[in-house]
Amino acid sequence: MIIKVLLSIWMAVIISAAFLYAGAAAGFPGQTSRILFFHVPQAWIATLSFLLSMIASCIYLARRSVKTDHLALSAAELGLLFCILATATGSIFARATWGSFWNWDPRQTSIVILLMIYGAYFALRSAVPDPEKRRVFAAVYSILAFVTVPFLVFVVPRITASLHPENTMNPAKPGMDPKTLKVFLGSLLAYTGLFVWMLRLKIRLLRLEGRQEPEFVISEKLKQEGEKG
Amino acid sequence: MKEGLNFVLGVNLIIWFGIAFYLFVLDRRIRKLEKTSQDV
Repeated sequence: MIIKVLLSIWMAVIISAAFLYAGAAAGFPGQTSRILFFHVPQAWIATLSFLLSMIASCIYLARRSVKTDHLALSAAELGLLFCILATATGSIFARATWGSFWNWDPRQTSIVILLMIYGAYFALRSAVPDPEKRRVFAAVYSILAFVTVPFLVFVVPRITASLHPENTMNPAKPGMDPKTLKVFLGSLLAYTGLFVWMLRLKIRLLRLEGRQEPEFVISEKLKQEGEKG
Repeated sequence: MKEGLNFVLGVNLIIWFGIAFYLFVLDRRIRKLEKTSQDV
């Protein structure tokens, strides 16, 4: 509980610092560069979520534990949510700097393909009625879907000409303003904390839903009978 | 410009506290449900 309260305060501090402490980056119209503190952490969380979903899916296929399926599903859901948020904030930046919300820039196109790939993950899950088969198919699909992530997120936008800023706003490159860097790293930390909080809530919710499922009731009864016998 | 920035900051803070409040409420409700399902 204390950690969650601290995280809430930390996020509020980061939001305030993004507007009051860090300066606007040179070479960008007005205050548009401040979107860096929100857009990049959202994209980072989306990538992290898809990676986590893939790892959990691998573990599920090896151990067939429902808990890991819950983790894979929760991570994929949050990944899709943060991917949509990153696309939305990116579009706001595009409107202010490139003149239009959508330009079919390689970065925008690759993110749409990624959204469709992970959208299909949920379509697949809802299309298979048998829970065991659904988990296996989803796990295999999640692993295959993640193969495209490094290609679509890191490779495609870098091998093609893109309007997306790389050098001026990339924290990995030297020369970033120290104040901006501090707020940016703080924002990454806050978003990661928020992701962990949301992920845990989603897993707990899935576990509760699982207890209502008939297959869970049957397996619990079988377990109880096994213990008696 | 400063006023515009303060307005956006205010909107962002309101959105964040709204999200945080929702997550706290959700956390509480899930905890209650977990307790109920354990009792059953």
